[in-house]
Parts: sequence; structure tokens; C-alpha cells
Amino acid sequence: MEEKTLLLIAIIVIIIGLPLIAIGKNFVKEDERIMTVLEGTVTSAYTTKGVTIVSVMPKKPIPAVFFEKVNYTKGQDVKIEGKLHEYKNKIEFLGE
Amino acid sequence: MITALILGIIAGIFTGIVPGIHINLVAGVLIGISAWITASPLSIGTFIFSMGITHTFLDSLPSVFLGAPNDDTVLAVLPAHKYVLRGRGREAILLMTIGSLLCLIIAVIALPLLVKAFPFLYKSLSPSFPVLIPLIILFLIFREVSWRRLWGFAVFISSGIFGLIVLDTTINQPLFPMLTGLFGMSGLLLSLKQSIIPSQSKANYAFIERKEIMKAVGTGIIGGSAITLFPGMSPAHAALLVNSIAKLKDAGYLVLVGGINGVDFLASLVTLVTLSRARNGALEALSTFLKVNTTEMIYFAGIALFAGGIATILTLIFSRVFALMMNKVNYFAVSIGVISFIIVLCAVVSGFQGLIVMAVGTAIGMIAPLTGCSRSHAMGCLLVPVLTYLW
Repeated sequence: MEEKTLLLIAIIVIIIGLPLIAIGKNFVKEDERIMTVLEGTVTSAYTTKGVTIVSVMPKKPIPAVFFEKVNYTKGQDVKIEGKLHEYKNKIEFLGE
Repeated sequence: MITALILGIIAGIFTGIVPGIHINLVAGVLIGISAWITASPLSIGTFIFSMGITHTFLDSLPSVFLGAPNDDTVLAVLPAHKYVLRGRGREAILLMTIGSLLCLIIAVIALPLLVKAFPFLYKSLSPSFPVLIPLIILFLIFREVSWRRLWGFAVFISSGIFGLIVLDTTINQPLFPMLTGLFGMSGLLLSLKQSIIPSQSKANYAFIERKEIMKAVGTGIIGGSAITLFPGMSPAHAALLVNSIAKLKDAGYLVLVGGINGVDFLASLVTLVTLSRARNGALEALSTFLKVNTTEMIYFAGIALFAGGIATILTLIFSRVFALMMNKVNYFAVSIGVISFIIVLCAVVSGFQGLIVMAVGTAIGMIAPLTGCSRSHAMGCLLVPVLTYLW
């Protein structure tokens, strides 16, 4: 195979790739950031088989945000399902 | 996003061309500094993915010209070295790039099929992994000729024990010194014996029959995709297994190795999406920044094609530079320079313990080329820990 044949295929592939990126971008959900910063006090820490597990008590309460009306009251013990999310450089919990 | 794509390609050039640097290392750094990164998750994902695709094309350059492979390209070293000794190193690069690009194109076309098939195949195969993987290892050892079987077994066991010890330590980035020692540094040290390298031609033609290309690409796409389902198994294993059936000549074999390497990264994204299993550090990093679903595969297919096309052109350009360099620069001095760079990098990344790991890895990594058995047995460093987990 000649080098120029390979070059031609590469150029065609680049040309096909660009519109595919543009179309595919519409299907990407950008808000699902998983990496964020957790600030608090370490209450316990131990390392086993190369894995370190640290329990962190957040310095400030983490707000849980719901995009619907929910009936929670102050002092109530709750178990909320959702995802950690970063908003304006602060952690918040998006309830689902 | 376009900036992230271009930066990813630039990073892929760096990790591909510089021996010892792997995308996992860059991805590890990204995670380390993630708190300070202000880019969007999509931009980070784009950066990591385009870097990975570009890397799979350009990492053939140090493997072929410097004899410094990584765990993916290790099996290309021997046939590629024959080409270098005949002054046809650039032709070896052309063959590997043909395989990488053609297999990548077919893998993109076959993406919907892979997305559908992987969960079913994994569900069917995974219960038999504790038996199937040792059988594959035994098959690869017993395909060696006579006493090389014994050496193959020795390399597998020693690298396996080595892997168990290294992965149980608290060394920073333990895979870096371990794999660099086993595959990169051992190859570089042995290449020092090769003080005279013949003048390299700037050939712009790869001598290979069309039928051989089709055979190598066809088997490459199957082998490269299927191997991603098996924990701990590398593209090098896929190349050995597939070639046991396909019986390709040297040129076809280089197309196959390039092809499997090209498919592996994209197919690994499919395993991440469909099975939630990251096969390498780069995709592990990507998954911490961005959740990729099947609908987002269209975007990453576009990235794969664009970065793959650009990487092909870059590989062809850089192979000319490498061929020219080999004619003008003292090969021994280049090898010493690369070895020194890797030692310094290892000390910076993994510290003194990392240097010890790399030294031990280098010693084990030299057994295979010195005894004539396949270097892929040194992948025991990952397979044995995986097997202990499976059992």
C-alpha cells in the first residue's frame, strides 16, 4: 500500500469525524460532573492493600437540592437518593 | 472543546513519542490536579480520549526505532527490528499505521454491534474466566518451542509474584515503574548492544498483499475487541492468540499488532459504557470526570475518527523525522539519553521505591528476549493479581 493512499484515507476519516463530533455533542449530558472537592475533618483513616479509606465530617452541612416540592422538616432523619454535584465551587447534593 | 481536542492530540504525541510515558501517567496527573481544573467535564473527557487514540498510533515510533516498547506494542519489536536492521524501519511504521487506522474505522462502524454484543458476551464468558484465563496463559506458554516453554513459565511466574508485591505497596503510580521496567527499560538496555543501525530509507510504500492486509485487519478487529472483555489480558495476548490461527507473515503481523492496538482503546470505552469496567487508567480517569452513556458514544466515535486521522498523518510525518534522526544521530547516545530520562522521571513520579521496582522489572523483563521466549509472558504482573482476585 502506498503512503499517499493511507494519507487519503486519513483525510476522509477526519472529514467524516468532524460532523460526527458536532452531531454527537447534542447527545452529551454535560452536567454529570462526578469529580469535586470535599472539605472537612477526618474522623477515621486506614489503609489496606493500597486503598486508603478516610471518613470525613464536612465542616459545613451539605445542601440537598430538589427540583420539586418535598416535605422535609428541621431535625428530621432522612435518607436521600441522588448525586454529588458542584455548584459555584461548593458541593451540593442533587436529590432525585 | 476544540481546544481540548487539539490539546489531547498534542498530549498523545508526547506520550506516544517519549518512551516510558504512558497516557495513564497523564491521566493520573489530571486526577491529582482535578480540584484546580476549571474546564468542563466534556472538555476533560475529550482531552483524555483524543490523547488515548493519538497515543495508540504514535507509540509505534519508539517501539520500532528505539526498541522501547510499552505493554501494547511489545510484540511488534521483534519483526519491526528485522525491518530496522534492513533499513526499512519506516515501512514497519507504515504497516502498523495501516492496521491502526483501518481497524479503528471498522471498529467505529461496528460500535452499535459492540455495544449490543459486549454485555451478552461478558455475561456468558465471565463465569468461566477463572478457568479460561489460565488456559489461555498455558496455551501461550506451550506454543513456545522446547526449553523456551520453561523460560516462558519462569517469566510468567516471576513477573506474577513481582506484580503481586508491587500492587500491594503504597508506591505512587506503581504501574509506571513496573511496566516501564518489564517492557521499556529492558528493551532499551538490550538495544545498547546494537551500536550500528543501518541507514534508514524514507520508503513511502509498504510491501504487503491486499489479501494479507484484509486478513490482518479482520482478525485484528475481532482480537482487539474480544480481548477487552478479559480482565488483565493485553493487546499483546490478543496478537499472539489471533496469530496462532491467522499465521500471518511479518508484514501482516505488524498490521495486526497496529490494528489490535488501534481497536483496543475504543473497545475499552465500550466496556466502560456497557459493563462499567475501565480497562486502563486513562478511561478510569475519564469516568471520574464524565459519565459516558451509549448515546454519547456518537460523540466519542467522532473524536476517535478525527484524532485517528490526524494521528495517522502525524505518525507518517514523525516516522520521516525518526528515520532521518537514525541516520544522523548516534543511536547509542540516543538510547543512553532516553534511559537517563526514564530514570529521572521514575524517581520524580514514584520515588526511590519506584526506582527499585523499575530495576527489578528490568531484570525480569530481560529474561524473555535473552532466552528467546515471548515478552508477553511478563504480563503475568497483571494477570496473576487478576487471577488471585477471580479465585
